[in-house]
This record gives sequence, C-alpha cells and structure tokens, in this order.
Amino acid sequence: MTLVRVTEATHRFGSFTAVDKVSLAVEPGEVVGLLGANGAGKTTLIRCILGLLRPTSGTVRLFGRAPSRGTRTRLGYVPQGLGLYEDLTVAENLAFSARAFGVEPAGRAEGERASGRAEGERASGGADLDRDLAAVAGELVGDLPLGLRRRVAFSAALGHHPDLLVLDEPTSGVDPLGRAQLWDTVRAAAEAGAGVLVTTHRMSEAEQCDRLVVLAGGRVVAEGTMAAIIGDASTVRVSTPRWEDAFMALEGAGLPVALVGRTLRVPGADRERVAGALGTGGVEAELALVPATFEETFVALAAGTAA
Amino acid sequence: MLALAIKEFRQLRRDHRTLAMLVLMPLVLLTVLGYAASFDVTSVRTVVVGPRAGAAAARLPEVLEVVAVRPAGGRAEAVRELRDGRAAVALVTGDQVAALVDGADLFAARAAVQAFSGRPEGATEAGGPRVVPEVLFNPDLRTPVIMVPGLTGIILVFVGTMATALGVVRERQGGTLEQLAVMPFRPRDVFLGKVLPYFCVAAVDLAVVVVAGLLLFDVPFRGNVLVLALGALLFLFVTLGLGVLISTVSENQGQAIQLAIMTLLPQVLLSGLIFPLQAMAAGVRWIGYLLPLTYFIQISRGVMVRGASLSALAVPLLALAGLGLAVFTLSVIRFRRDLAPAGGEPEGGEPEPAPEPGAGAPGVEPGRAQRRPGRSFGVWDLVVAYRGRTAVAGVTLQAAPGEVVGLVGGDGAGKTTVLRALAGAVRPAAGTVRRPPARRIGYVSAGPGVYRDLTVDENLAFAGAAYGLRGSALGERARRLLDRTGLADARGRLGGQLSGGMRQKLALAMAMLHEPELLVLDEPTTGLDPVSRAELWRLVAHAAAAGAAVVVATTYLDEAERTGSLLVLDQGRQLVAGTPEAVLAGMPGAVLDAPARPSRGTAWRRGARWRVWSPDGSAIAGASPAAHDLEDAVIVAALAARERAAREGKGAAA
Repeated sequence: MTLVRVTEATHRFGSFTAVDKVSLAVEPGEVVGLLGANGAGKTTLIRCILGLLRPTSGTVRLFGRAPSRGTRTRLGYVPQGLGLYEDLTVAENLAFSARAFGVEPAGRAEGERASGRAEGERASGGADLDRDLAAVAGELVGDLPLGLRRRVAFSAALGHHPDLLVLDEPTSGVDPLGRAQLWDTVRAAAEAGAGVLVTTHRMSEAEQCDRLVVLAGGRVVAEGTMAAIIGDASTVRVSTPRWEDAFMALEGAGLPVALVGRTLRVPGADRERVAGALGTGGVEAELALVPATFEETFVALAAGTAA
Repeated sequence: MLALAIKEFRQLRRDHRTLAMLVLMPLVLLTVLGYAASFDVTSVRTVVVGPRAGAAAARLPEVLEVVAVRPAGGRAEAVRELRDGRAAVALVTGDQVAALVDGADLFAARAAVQAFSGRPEGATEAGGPRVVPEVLFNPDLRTPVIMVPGLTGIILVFVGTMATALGVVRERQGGTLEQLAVMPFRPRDVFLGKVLPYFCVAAVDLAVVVVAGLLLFDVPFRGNVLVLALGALLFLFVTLGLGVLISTVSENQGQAIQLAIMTLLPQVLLSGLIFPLQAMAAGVRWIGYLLPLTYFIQISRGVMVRGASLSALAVPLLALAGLGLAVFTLSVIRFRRDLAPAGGEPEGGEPEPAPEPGAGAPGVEPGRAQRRPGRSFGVWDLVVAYRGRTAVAGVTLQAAPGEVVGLVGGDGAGKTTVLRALAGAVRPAAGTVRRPPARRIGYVSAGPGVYRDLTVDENLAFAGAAYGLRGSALGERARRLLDRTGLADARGRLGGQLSGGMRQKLALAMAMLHEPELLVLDEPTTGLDPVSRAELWRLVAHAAAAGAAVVVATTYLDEAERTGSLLVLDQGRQLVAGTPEAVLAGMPGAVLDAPARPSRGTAWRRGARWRVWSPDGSAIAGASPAAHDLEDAVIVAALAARERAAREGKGAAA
C-alpha cells in the first residue's frame, strides 16, 4: 500500500502559493529525498503530509486515508530542532514519546534487552544505536554531543515502529562517521518496511536516497534518481595557473563561477562564453566540458536557470 | 495527558532555579521582609544643644537616642545638624525649650512627635513647660515629599538595569560578541561604549522625573542642583554598570532578566525607600548598605528636602563612587575573559617563534613545526583548554595568502575553538599562533554576527568604524560589496528581516569590508540552501583571489572538497589534513563496494549499497573494489582512530 500519496496538492497563504500542484508518493521500504532551496515549499508540503496544514486544493492521503489523529500514531517525525527535552534524560525522553504514542514505555528492561541483542544484531545497524543509547540512558539530553542527540531523536521517532518516517535535515551538524551511523538507522528502518521521506539541501544526504523530488517555487521541477536528474548537464572546467585572474574575469562577466581547489568550474555556461570572458580579461586557460555534479545541477534547477 | 504531566514534573524536578523560586523564595522573602518591614522606629538620633543640654539629655524619653550633647551650641547649630542629616531630632535648651524634628525622616519624625506629645506628666515632673515639637523641612509630614526623591532613583534602577542587562546577552546570543572579541576593541571600550548611550538617555530621564516630581507633588528643592547631579551621575554609573555586569555573567536573556529582578527587589525593599533603615534588624540593614539606591536616596532627600551641603553628603557620594569602581572593575574583568584576545603573535612580531616546551602535543610528528612558509597564517601544535578541559590538542593548520583552507568536523569537534585561537579570541594553552594584527583580520562567527536591530547599511557602518574606515573609502567599498552580495536593494532593511542567506552574506561583507589579510569564517553555510551557498562560496573565492588567506569551517565534506586543503577534526584532534588528493591517497587500506553487508570488515551504507573497509587492502568476499571518495577516507580515518584509541585503552588497562 502506498504510504503517502499527494495528488495535485496546492497550498496558498493569502495570495502566495507555497505549494503548487505537487504530486508525490512514498512506498514502503523506500527512501525519498525532498530537495529544494529555502522557500521552495518543502516545509509547507511536509506540514500538509503530517496533517498540520490542509491543502487549499488537491488531496493528501496518508496510509490510504486523510491525515488525522489516528494516522499520527503510525508516523515518526524528527524535526530539524529534534524536539527533545534537554532537561530530561535519554530514558525519560524516550519514555515520554513512547507514552505519547500509546506504546509501553521502554524503560530499563528495554535498555538491557537492547544491549544483549547488540552483538548478534550488529549487521542490521539498528542495534548499535540501541547499545550506544543504553550507555547514556541516564544522562541529560542537553549534555550529549549533537550526533548522539540526533540518535536519541531517531530512537524516539522509531520507538512505536512507525510505517512512515519523516526527517527534516536529519544529519545536520554531524561528522561523517556519525552521519554514516544515522543513515544506517534510517536504512535499517526502510529495510524493515517503513517508508522514509527526507527533506534536505545537502548533497551528501541526497546521495543516500533511492529517489529524489526537487522542488522550486512550489513546483516539482525534477524527479528520479540522482543520475537521471543530472542527465547530460555539463560544466565548463577552467584550468590555469592564474586562477585568481580567471576568477575575476569570469565573475566580472556575470558567470556563476566556482572555485574548486585551484581550478574553476562554470556550471551551465557554454564554452564560447567562458572563452570570451577569459579573452577579454587576457587570461590563458585550458577549458574542458565535464559532466556536472548533482549540486551544480540542483543549483541550476533551483535558481531556474536550467535550459 | 498523564504522559505530559509526568514529563512536566520531571523537568520541574531538574530545574533547580524554578524550584528554588517556588519553594525557597517565599521563605526568604518572608524572613527578610519580616525583619525589614517595619515602620516603627525605636531609636531616633537626637542632639541636645544649649546651656542646660546635659540635664535635658538625661530626661529625654527612651526612644530619643542622644548622639551628641553640645552645651555651647544654639538653634542655628541644631538646624545645621538636622539639615546635614546627623540627627533627626534636636532639642534646644535655654530660656525656651524647643524641639526641632527633621520632617525628611518621616518615620523618625513621627516617632519623635509621638514621644513628645505622649509625656505630659514627664514634663510636669521636670518642672519645665510642655515641649511642642517643631517640624522642619516637611512641616506637614507629607509622604510625597520624601517619596518622590527616592522614587526617581527606583525608576532609574528599573529602566537602567533592565536596559543594559540585556545588552551583552543580546550580543552573545546573536553571535556578535565573538565578532567584538576579534575587532580591535579593548574591554573598557566595550564597557564604556555599552553604558554611554543608556547613560545619556537615563540622565535626561532622571531630569524629567525630578522636574515632574517637583511640579506634580509640590516637593521642595532646597539644595544645590550640582550636588544632586553629581550624586545622580555616580548612581547612574553604578546602576547601568550593574546591568552590564549582569549581562556579562548571563548566558541568555531569561537569565539576565531573572538576575536583574534579583538586584531590583532588594533595592525596592531594603534601601530605606519604603521601610526606614533604622527600623530594620541589623543583618538586613547591612544588606541595605550594599545597595546603590540606599545612598542615592540619602543624597536626593538630603539635597532636595533638607538642602544638605556637599560635605554633609560625602559618605553616600564616596560609597557610590566605591560601588561604581567595583562594578566597573568586575565588568572589565568579565569582558577580558570573554573578549580577551591574546596569545600568539601578530605578524610583524617574531616571524619564527621558538617551539615552546610542552607544545609537542601527542599525535603530531616532530618537525612539522619547521614546515612554515614565509607569510602564511595559522596555528601550530595548538592546545586550547577551557576551565582545565582540553578542547583542542595538537592541531596544526596554515593558510597562505590566496588559499582557502577547509576546517571540517561535527558539532563539538573543536572547529570554533581553533578558529577563535587563530583569530585571537581565545588564549592557547600551548602552541604557536600566527596572525595579522586585529585590524587585518576578518571574522564571521557561527551566529552570524549581524545586528538584527540595525539596517544593512548601519551594520556595515559599524563594522567600518570598528576597523577605522570612514568617509569615501568606506562608502566606496560598502557599495562594491553590496553590489557583489546582491544586498544593494536591501540596504534599509533590518538585519533581523533578512533571509538566512542574505544575513550570512551581510556578515561576510562586514568581515571583508576592511580587506583583511586573514578571513576566518565559522560555518558560514550552515542552514543555507544550495543557491545561497553557491553565492557565498563565490564571495569567499573572490576574497582569496584578491589575496586573502581564508579559513572556513564546515560540517560537510563535500563543501571542504572545493578548498585548496582541508583539516578534519574529531574530538579536538586532527584526523586527517592536507589537500583533498593527499587525503584520498593517504587512506590506509581500501574501501570496497558491496550490494549487501559483507561477512567481515567494518561496513556502512551508501544509499542502498554498502561500503566496507579492508584495513590491509585485501579482498573481502562479496565486495568489489571501488574508488573511494573523501567521505569514505574520513570515515576510515575516524574508524582507525577509534580502533587505535580502543587498543591504547586496553593496553593501559592491562
């Protein structure tokens, strides 16, 4: 059964259309990335899906029904601000969210079970989380480093085994190893059959998703796998020992030039324009047309400059 | 519902401050007020003058406590004693017995009047005529006459302490305090700069309140305006300074307000404004003597109601001056802690500092300190500790002019500490720091350091002035930066009204205005969307192209990949460092790709597939060789570091 089905949803705030005829679906076991610049409509769409906003037109179906208090019990949500109580311990936070969702509070027994299970179940990735959290169960959430705090939030959202997990910028502020651990948890939940909807504007996050939906100006402007979205978009790479002069020349010509190490990249531009700008600046450089990165493609899509 | 109540109860149990307020506060209030809240003066300071002073003094009722007996004095001296506040009652003996009572000391006066009228038999017994006391200064014993001078003080305490108490906290929360720390300001500049504007406003405020009091309540003004002005000056300095002091010790606005109220309440209750000091128990009275309002009330009542002279008010004036000095010194000390840069030598000093003993932190191979090109800035073998806890150890990072260096790490890895040490906002415990003088550094804190209540133009003007730019040079540079950042259309908008991306660009523009040689940026792209991020990186690249050395902190490796070289921090230590190519090449072992979790090796997911690390590079069943990227290399480095730490831990235990 499709977990989320948004059909032609539009949401207006007064005369401002935040979400414009968006259709989107999340299936069980699937990780869908929702990408977009600030103001693209991500937050409004998520609030419609969570049932906190009613779309002006179009429909949102959650587990085949209209979002209601009932659907919330099958939903796990980790907001960007994590929604944890910093002056409560890890165990108390988990107990609160468990009670709030009407499941039996985990408590001490759960922690012991988790640590006993840990060795055998490391393969799934999820058990590591339980073990690490069991070790800090009595500590205040406010005293934990951010990476661990995020794992508490994940655990709180997963405590009632939701069918749908909604994550807002789930790994923001976390180091690469901590990020890998968090994604292990998300992926493990997906393998167990949950659908996952992730909003992000980080490319390293997008890479972890099965499918991406790119919003711009409230509309879906691209959809599919990362490779499919990049397609055959290309970037002009400029190599020159005088990168400083080349940069000034290209920037002066109004081109969206970026510095990467000591080479320059001009996404979306044609070679002649780049060569012309460099010629005007009197800079000799080697130009090459290379495949665009996802970030470059995304910026072009979001800025609306894609051809 | 029950779930919420349980949670709320647990939070309350842990919030000692609120709990204390709820339980302890009533008790403290009751005790203090019980001892303080009394209008009954049981001892009135009395002088007796005139030829028969000695005999008269012996016959006075108990409540009149004789503090001086002057047989040589007359009525004039008695009045002077009252005016200068040395006594509240003066008995003039001689041909005619007269009792003078200080009406400015309302409750003492009432007690004295009662004492005189209540002893007709005593008077008869003494054989003298019955004494009818004469009330000076406030003949009708009207309350407003003594309340208004005191009220002017309490109003200023409220307005002044509250206004300044939030000043520094706002900067701390907005991230602008970091900015101030690296700007070329001295701690006392910051204190005085913070107090001065409020001082001017409060001075006008005070004048208005005094004049309104005189007109509305028919309060006399007998003394010298200049004496009151001097007292007010000192009092305002203490009051506003106290606000700044509160501000420097508070972490957030709520705490600042709580502390401000905690200094306000005792001033209202214990300063002698409402309850006379003489009626309080000794312990409580001594608290009163620590409060600035106590002295200001003595001064304002003295000057306005009694017309006391400068010399008579020397004690309260000196007390205020002393309090002022104490508040100023404490604030500057606090500021020095927050703002005190130092450590490391600005360029122009010794270019080749001798490696310090103890600087060779673990994990740093010897000889690295020698590798130091001529004009690079950076930190070498840096160690920073906060309150004895090591935040960063053995970090070496350098940035040459025209180079962008990425500092990568998760929240709490020590990035900000390294940047603060580099910019001179924290003193390193060991190691070498090389940076240009404060005027040549640009710094963007993680805040970002933009004043939300100033417009774009005003923010830029402040940054310009802080770095000594003015006039056409400032205007021209500001205009160019506004064009490049796309903020030209938003010049009149408040910092708080800007989008996150625009605010970061403004912060960067403020840091670049003085064309610094070293640009230090603390997570400038956190929270920004990809479009703003691309624009911000273009600004950074521009600064580098123009010759600045740039150090940028980020939590994201894909961002650091675009820098010339990068340093990854983990728990205060450097995990890997070098150019992206060098980091990739230096990864121990190999990373393999697998469709499912392999039977051995440490594995993590990449999308729906798995990555697995083979420490010795050998093949793993079910996994095929893959090209590793920076993300893989850093995960491997973190895993390797953790294994090493676990081994060392085991070794130490055995």
